[in-house]
Amino acid sequence: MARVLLSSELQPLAGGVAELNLAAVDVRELFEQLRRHCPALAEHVQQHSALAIDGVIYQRPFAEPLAPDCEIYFIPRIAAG
Amino acid sequence: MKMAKQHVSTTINGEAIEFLCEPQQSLLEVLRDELGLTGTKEGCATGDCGACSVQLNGRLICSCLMLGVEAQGQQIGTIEGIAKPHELHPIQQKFLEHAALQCGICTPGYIVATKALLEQNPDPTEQEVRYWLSGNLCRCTGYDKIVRAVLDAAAELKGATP
Amino acid sequence: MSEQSTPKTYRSIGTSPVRPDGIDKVTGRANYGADRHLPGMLHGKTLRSPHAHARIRSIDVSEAEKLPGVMAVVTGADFPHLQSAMEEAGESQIDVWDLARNVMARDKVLYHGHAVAAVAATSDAIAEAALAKIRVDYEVLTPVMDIEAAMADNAPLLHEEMRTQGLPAAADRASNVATVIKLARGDLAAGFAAADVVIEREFSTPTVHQGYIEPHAVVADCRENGQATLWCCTQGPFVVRTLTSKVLNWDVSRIKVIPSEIGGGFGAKTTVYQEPVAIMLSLKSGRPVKMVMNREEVFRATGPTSASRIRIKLGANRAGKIMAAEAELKYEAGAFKGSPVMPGCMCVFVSYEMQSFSITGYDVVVNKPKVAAYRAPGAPMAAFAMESMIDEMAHKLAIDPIQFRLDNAVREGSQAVYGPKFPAIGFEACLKQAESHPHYRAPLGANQGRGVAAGFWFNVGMQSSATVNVQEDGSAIVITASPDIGGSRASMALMASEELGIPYERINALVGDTETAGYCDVTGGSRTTFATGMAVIQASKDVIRQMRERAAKVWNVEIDQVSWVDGAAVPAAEVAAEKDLKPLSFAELARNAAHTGGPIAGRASLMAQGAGAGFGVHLCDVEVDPETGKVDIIRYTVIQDAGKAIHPAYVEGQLQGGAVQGIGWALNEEYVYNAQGVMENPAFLDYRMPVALDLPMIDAVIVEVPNPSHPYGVRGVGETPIVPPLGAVANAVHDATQVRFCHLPLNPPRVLAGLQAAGA
Repeated sequence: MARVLLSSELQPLAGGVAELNLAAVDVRELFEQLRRHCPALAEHVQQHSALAIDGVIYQRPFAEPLAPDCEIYFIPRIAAG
Repeated sequence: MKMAKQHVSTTINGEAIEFLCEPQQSLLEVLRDELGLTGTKEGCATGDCGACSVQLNGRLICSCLMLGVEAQGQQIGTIEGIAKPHELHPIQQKFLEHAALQCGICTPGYIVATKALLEQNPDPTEQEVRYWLSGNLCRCTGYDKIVRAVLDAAAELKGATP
Repeated sequence: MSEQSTPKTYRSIGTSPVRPDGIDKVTGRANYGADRHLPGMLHGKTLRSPHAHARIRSIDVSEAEKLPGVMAVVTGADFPHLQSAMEEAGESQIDVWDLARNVMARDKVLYHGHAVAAVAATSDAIAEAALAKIRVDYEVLTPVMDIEAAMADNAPLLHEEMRTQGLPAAADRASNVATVIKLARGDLAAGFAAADVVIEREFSTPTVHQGYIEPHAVVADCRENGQATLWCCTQGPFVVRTLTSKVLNWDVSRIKVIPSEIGGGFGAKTTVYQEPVAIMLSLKSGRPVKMVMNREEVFRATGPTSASRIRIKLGANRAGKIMAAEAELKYEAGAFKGSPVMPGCMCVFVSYEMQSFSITGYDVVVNKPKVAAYRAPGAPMAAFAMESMIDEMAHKLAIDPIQFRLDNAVREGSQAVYGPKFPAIGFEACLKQAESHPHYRAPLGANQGRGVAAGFWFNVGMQSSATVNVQEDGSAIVITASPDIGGSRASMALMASEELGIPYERINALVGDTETAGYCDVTGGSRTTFATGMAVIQASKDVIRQMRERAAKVWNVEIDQVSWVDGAAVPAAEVAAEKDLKPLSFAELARNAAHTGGPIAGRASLMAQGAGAGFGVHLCDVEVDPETGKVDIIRYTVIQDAGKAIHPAYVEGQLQGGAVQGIGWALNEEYVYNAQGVMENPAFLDYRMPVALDLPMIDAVIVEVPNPSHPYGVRGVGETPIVPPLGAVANAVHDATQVRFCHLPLNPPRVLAGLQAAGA
């Protein structure tokens, strides 16, 4: 189970929920699950977010494996200089 | 009315050079656009950044503030004339050793300015180096390693003088 | 046996050799953006708006086109009309219609200096004369020049279609606020109620420019078959290709981008200004076109960073623990949406543990040039405000400023303000270094003061490629497409040397272009040593695998009986004895490559993940002249976690350079605008950046808390150094004068006025 923790900014896109538990062994499955349960959230994070998996930040992740009981955060993609 | 180009005879890096230029062209424009000597850089064209530094009869000047026609009969020293064949000048070597350049755009100006400084004052203090080089802007290094390179080059050149 | 795992004591990395491109840069050979000449080349110049805000009624270029020597004229009408759409552009997404309109105005001009038309002619003088003959009919509108004016009721609107995003309910009217952001956690009211001391202040920072010495320059050459080549100074040739293709609505394969050497960028050269225009002029004229900005254009019409207004309320208890914090950040985006207010919001409280916080951010358009990235975009302003508040709180609680930070510092396992838990980070290590550094105990004289401030930047990974070509003489060539802004060729060569086990001097590191190198994101984002380095490491490992294969063939053994040690293929003990085998060196295998299967070349392309955050702590001593208000920096120390410094001298260079940009931002730099929205100081004389005489030596201390996600532990270092100085300088000035300054820059008139107001 991946624990997806949502910031106060994203909670409205998930119907006000702060935490989602999704069965996914990799990022691809995670997004499939997300599109099924919270399509608005899925669309937003696909465009705007990087992913933190157990604290390590992944930009534009695709099929990265997810450990059981991993913690997922969506964070805004950072443009830098 | 378009003015005719002027013919100028000058000496650049010890070599007799002739060129044609329009009266309003700066020496910087002439060096870069007419003579292909692109080592001297334009950062501002208003004499504030020193990237266009050259030596005029040994004196440090901004080539953006001098007209090409004013080079008539003068001696111009640019970055291209500083190394000897097969041998970098100690100033150039010290800039490399001290990592005194990052992007390198200001570096030709600094090397010319440093040469002019050390010809005038072979044993400058840190303050004197900072004062002299305040006509050259560097945005990458914060000046620390440049000052160290210049002080080290001064020490080397002093040691080498018999 | 397998490849050796990367050892902890290193041969090459951690040394500071001379860079491979060094000779060209100290002799004037290196070619920058303006140094290219092509036969038949024309000179391109841009007509720029004399108004900060106006509608374009009509443009008449007929007189200009007739001028002898003018070969092409373009206006907005020559460029495709695009739909507003967020598209991938390197590090994040941009609105391609905003970009296209910034490159060349369409129905409106939105800042003084906005490009309206462009001309290509046989000389600079003719091009300038042609610009003067272009007649533009403007309907002048009232300019909106700051956040307050932009957010006021009935403010003139820059974009009539802009509706504020991020509001709880969809906006019902147009606005100059593009986006509202909210980040919150915990119970703010309870947090403040539990605090013994609560302070609240407002801060402001001005528009400042990255200040690179090299103006933007491009040479565009279109061929008869429609293929275009761009030579330009850029932090990212592939990003230039992508953005140019979007503005022109061309396939990327029509555009080749060759990056010149680059004379500074600091984030500002990760976008395009002249590139699509130069291509269009070249296409129309059938000749190469060179466009070089002058310094005034660089100030007026490129991308400075946001001016900001920040309000912070901070609550802590007597024991020194932060209980709650609230922040409101308003950033100017310039003419089009997209300031770095989001990273500003993510960074404002990032260094400190807190259970309850609320952060609100506003992205506000104003009639100034569209902002571009500037080294840790959004973070320096936020850190100025927060580090000033931390300083004030520490004083009110009578706790040492470093101790107060230690008591609240985020550590491994702390939950970041933006959500995830931190992996191993070096904030505490930097604070401890600062505390024990001799600078912190050095005595201070009259009118002198000391300030401390901390800073953070995420650092990014993203896409990089590398090729390692083995030469028959035992040397290697490393090719990437990361323009070398600060010595990265040297770092690539060091990493290849470390992996391959051959001397640094046997490696040449080159920068390719969009046709000769694999895809690479920008040199920026503190990503080059980390991500492009990772590609170089993997490409080197690819070479080693091939070398082991060749040795295995030569020895007629299995590949897993061959290991790679100290630059040579080494047979396993059992077969070495049995067949009397000696190790085969890199050079020997290289020399015989043609006999063992052909050339040996390694490659790698990757999306580098796991970039490690970089924390820094700065110590700043100032002396304030009570009669003039002049602030002199008398001592400055930068302490920063680099994870692992590949080339320590160039890491120090980043620390020192970034710190000095921050010092300039704190003390003197600002865009001065008049009531018509025209910048009054677009030259280095009055846009006052630090010079050598303004500064002492800058002590740079590299801390190494390895990034667990990188084979050598590398963390990016380029951006964090600019984050602490604004707070460090302001805190030092407070220490010297007992006056808290909240509005930058701290130039002499402002400091003097502050001292006089305080009755000093």
